[in-house]
Amino acid sequence: MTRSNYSAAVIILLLLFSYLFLVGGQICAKMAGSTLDTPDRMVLVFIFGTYAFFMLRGLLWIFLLRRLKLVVAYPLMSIGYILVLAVSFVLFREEPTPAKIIGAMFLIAGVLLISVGENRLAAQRGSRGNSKPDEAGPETKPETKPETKPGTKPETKPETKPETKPETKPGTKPGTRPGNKAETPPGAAQ
Amino acid sequence: MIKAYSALVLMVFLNTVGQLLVKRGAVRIVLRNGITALVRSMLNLYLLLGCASVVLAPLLYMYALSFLELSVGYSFTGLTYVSVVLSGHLLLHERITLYHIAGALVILAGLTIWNIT
Repeated sequence: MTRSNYSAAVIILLLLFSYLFLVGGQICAKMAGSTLDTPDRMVLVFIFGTYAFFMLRGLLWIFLLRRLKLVVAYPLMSIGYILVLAVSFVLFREEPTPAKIIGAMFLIAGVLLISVGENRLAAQRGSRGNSKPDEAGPETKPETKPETKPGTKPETKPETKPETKPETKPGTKPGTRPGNKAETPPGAAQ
Repeated sequence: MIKAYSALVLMVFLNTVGQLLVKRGAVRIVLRNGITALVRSMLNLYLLLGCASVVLAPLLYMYALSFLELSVGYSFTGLTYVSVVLSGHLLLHERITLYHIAGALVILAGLTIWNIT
């Protein structure tokens, strides 16, 4: 149990940083683009930042794929489009078009559908009572995380959140409690 | 025009194959035996080829976009989600359900809508 909590926490962290680097890279690219025609040394910093974030994300992606099924991890990355949409609205005052807002809802719906599929697989596996519990557990959590971020922005995605949130959140917490600390290091080596 | 579309198809193909290869290579990484073993295990053929094709794909995308509208390009990007889910199941034997396929199709729809004006 603790081990699967630990691995869920790692997956969530990897996902969050992937999104962070994606958004960071896009911000750098935009800044580089908008300072390109000015004689500003900063443009080099932004270009470097764009590539640095890109490489870091690639590295994280490899380690994410070690722990997560490709058929789950890859669709999850589509949430990045929404984050970039939100950030470009906040930072650069780029109004999202209605098409993008509808598209964003589709992306969330798609990710939710896949999480439903994963839950079904986990239920099947649970009823047969056999292997790989740690592969099924984490998957319900990651996609609830990304949605909380764009959720702080005004209008985009109203109804989707509540679904998996309630029971997955408390699930991740116990792993961080000191009582379980002793168990985590062997997991860390894994 | 044909050139542009075949570039897009090739892009989807390269992206998909790249992701499959990276997944294959990623599970071979050795974390336990120190930094040398880590680096050496990260230089496996799967990862190198996978990274190469994932890096190559955007070039084709940019080439295609010099002829086509962005919305067309986005649809093809969306197609990658479908092909990754299907090929992940068929070639990597990852377990999926109809929900996974439906989800990928919905993402494809979302990205197709994305750039409609």
